[in-house]
Amino acid sequence: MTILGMPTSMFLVFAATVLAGSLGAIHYVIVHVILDRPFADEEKAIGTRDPAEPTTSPGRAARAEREARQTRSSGHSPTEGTGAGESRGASSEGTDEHD
Amino acid sequence: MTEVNPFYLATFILYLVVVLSIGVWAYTRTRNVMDFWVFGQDMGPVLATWSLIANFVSSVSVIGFIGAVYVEGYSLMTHTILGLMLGLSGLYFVVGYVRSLNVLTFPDLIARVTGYESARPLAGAVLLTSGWLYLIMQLVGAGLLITAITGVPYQYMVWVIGGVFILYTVMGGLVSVAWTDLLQGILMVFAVFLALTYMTFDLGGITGINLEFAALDSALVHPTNEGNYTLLYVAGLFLAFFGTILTEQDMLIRIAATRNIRTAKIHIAAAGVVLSVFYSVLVILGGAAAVALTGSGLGVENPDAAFPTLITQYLPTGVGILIILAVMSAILSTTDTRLHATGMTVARDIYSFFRPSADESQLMKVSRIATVVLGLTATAAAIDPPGTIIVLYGLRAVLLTSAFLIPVYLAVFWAELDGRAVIAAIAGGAVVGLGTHLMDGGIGAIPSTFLGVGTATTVVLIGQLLLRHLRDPGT
Repeated sequence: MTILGMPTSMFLVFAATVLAGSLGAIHYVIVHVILDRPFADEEKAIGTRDPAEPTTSPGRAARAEREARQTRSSGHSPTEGTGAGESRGASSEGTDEHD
Repeated sequence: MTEVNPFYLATFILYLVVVLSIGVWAYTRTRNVMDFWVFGQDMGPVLATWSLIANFVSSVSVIGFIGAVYVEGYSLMTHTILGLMLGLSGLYFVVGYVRSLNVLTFPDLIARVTGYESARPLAGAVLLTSGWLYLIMQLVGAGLLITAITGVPYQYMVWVIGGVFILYTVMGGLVSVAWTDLLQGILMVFAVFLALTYMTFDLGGITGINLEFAALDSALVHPTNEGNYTLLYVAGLFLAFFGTILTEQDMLIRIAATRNIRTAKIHIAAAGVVLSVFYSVLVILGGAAAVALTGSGLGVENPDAAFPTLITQYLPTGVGILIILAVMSAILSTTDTRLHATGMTVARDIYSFFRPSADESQLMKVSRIATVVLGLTATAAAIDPPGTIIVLYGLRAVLLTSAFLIPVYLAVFWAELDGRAVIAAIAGGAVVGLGTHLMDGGIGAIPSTFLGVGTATTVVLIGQLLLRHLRDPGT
């Protein structure tokens, strides 16, 4: 059996490719347009989320906590953009000669 | 020397003048190193989307992919393009987190998740090799095309194109790159759709194209080339291209250039839709090119010459001019992005690691010098390239995916993962992936991507277990 002159299996690969490329858009429309969920950076600014609701994975939360501690102790923002050579390490265990 | 078509030559010159003018204008808008590197982190959704599209579609896509379809048929969709599209959507799902880290480059991300600054020059060296290979591929594609069109010998044409893209990239950095991308992306998508429309009418519709393509060889319209490519081979390539999207330096740089997470997500989501349709059209155009060239006795031996031959010897001049603009756009937009990324890799990831006290003007200067040097050396290498476009494309995909995919993204989402295990896995994956690929594409029936990714995964997991045990013998 053929569709548009090509075997059905080949046609399905074309269809799957378009679907694969559109997964992000589908997610964006459902989650951020229809359900109106805020983005992580907007979330902090708006502050409307229920504090009891988990906003991140446990791994991310642990890392964020360590980053916050590290930032407080080093006295500068870990997200500085142009500070070449500054420590960007987020894991508490790993440090080397430049940290 | 082929006959010169004055319309094609004039179009080519006009095109170069336009992009150079944008470069000069962008130079006036580039005030500091953050503008030069990441557009001052203020790129909006429309510009970011079209910049990503233009960057994504390269000479590999237009010359290499059409050449690949000419030889092996639509199986390219299965093992390469489907992987690329899934990779793009995969990037969408991690982009929010990556953008929130506010890292500027991929080595920045690695340093952040491992906690080791020394990971920056290590990863930078791998990315530099990959980026430089990519530059060569772009220049080969551009040189082949414009030589076929204008009749100017390849070895001269490569230098003309190399000179122009180096000049406008070095002037305005990502500001030049993004604004030229906007123009180039729109032009490219429009022209490829126009080309397929023309071929559709010329060859009796999409069904007619596919039936005639299948008549050449039924394997050409089969997802695995009727079993000529094993599932393992297809899966290996698929994984390599999927991984490439998540590990490319220019992707990270563009994400850093967006003004917020919303923009970062929109640009990947929108580009995914446009690109998945664009590539489907492009692959069918490849089938149409094969049918048209074979049917009219214009068959080529070098698959990379298929599309240039279609333009110069099959299409009417009016359509040909638009297609040339599209192909030039595809090539230059990717080349400038990669050149900008390699220059930034040198300055940001390597130079600044060894000279942490370097100020902004020094970093800008190093970026610009690196851009010129890498651009010139890539141009020189493109005169006698070490392989066809599609071969080089596969090589760098294996390298990036083997080295980075598993260790880096595992570290992004596994906070307890030891940075030393991640770095060892990057080194192991790169050596095994690249080494086995250069030997014979793999060991036995196992593709190099699987070997590289498998090594990286094994090293990171065993490394984590050992280091954890050393740190805490009780566990």
